Amino acid sequence: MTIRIFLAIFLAIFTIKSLQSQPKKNRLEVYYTPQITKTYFEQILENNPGSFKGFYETVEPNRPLLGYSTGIGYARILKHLELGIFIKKNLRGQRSDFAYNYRGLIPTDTLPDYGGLYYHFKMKSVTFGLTIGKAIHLNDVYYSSLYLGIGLDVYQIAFLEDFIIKSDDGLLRGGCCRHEYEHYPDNQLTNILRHIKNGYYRAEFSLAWRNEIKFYKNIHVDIQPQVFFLTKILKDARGLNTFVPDGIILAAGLQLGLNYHL
Amino acid sequence: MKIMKLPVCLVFLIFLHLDLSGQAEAGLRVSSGASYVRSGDQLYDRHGSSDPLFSWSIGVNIQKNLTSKMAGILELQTARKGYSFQIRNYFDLNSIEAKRTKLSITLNALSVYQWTLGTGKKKVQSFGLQYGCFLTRNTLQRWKYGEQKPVNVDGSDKPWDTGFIVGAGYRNHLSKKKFLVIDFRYNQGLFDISTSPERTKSRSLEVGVCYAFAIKK
Repeated sequence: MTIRIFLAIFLAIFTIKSLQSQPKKNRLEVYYTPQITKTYFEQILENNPGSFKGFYETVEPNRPLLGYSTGIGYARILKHLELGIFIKKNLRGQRSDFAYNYRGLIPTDTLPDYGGLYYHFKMKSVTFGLTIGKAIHLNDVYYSSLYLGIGLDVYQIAFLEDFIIKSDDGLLRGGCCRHEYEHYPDNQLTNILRHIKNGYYRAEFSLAWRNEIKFYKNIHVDIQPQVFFLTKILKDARGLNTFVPDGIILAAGLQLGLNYHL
Repeated sequence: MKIMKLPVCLVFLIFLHLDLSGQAEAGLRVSSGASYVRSGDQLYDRHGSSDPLFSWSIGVNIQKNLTSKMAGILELQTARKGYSFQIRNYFDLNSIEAKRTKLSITLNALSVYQWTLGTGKKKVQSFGLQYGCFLTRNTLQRWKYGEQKPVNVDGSDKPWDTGFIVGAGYRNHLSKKKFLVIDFRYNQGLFDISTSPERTKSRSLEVGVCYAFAIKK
């Protein structure tokens, strides 16, 4: 309920400010955000199926994972305020340390060149959202602003994979297993609509410092440090299906964007 | 070697563009950072990554201002890169340290798009975006697993690697003919460097300092 009130207030500010008669500019942007991500899905990971139960008992996935977001956005730039909408795809997750001892046992039944293993959990999602920004520095070449974003992060697919180090030459190769959570072989749009209907979505909040530099005529580049916080699944979806990962997500990244002003 | 044609051609096109009859600079650049690899199998399209290894490089470069905002850099450097694994061992034993190091010679070709940030009486600062490509020839590759003796693994990787570079730098004029550049770069290998079925691609992040001076006016 609180999230809905926030969204309603945000949308109202967006509409009112967009309609006000101030000098306006429009910005289209495409961006890629490499980011350090950490999901907190221990509740589901400790009950992993098959071999992953053994991996979890060997080493827990407590390390952050290098993920990304990539997307497109549109913003209306007012005098000292910018309001925008965006859609982006994300990959976030968590991973384990490398470990040699499988469940604390001597790994005699593995490959002769076995040198250790690790596994990771990755989740793909799509986020739709709104942003509101406040300009803090503005001139012909450089534009800087602070902004807040709020979005709906819809679950797409999640999977577990393991990897093995070859002790004879140091190469890292895929291990024995891969497990996918709640995934259907339909097209992406059908999957997104199904997951919205089933309530597999969470709220995303972001805070960013935009640094935009004029590159050529109407084309600008931007670099912006960002931090993200994502809530648990908003509906009680785990009751419907225990194979949907639930838990908060933290992430921090550096957005690299290419913008077109019109 | 087919995959090498594009970056090699790009390098030489930029090199030909560096008309040394105009204003040019020569520089010495040292950098350090972290390198790692992303690896996985082709069958399931899955990717894992190693732990990072401390890396360094030292090299010389030539920079030529092509326009008021654009410059080209050609750089030759020797580097130590690779990757590592910190492997947890049995509960009563120390962790296993494994690392794969490679020494290499690298040719970087970069473009720099720069903005002047401010001017003083003699000093000028500028901020530049760097983008380009690299071509690397590995000279020595070693793998050390725990307490085992290091082994030479030259045969398990391809000798050449190529990819792109993106970065940003801050440049300060120390005097009329001397400059100091501090930059941050990300290098990403574009092709599989391993001869085994596992795909392995190189990655590195580095912070560098370059001392440059004008060689012609």
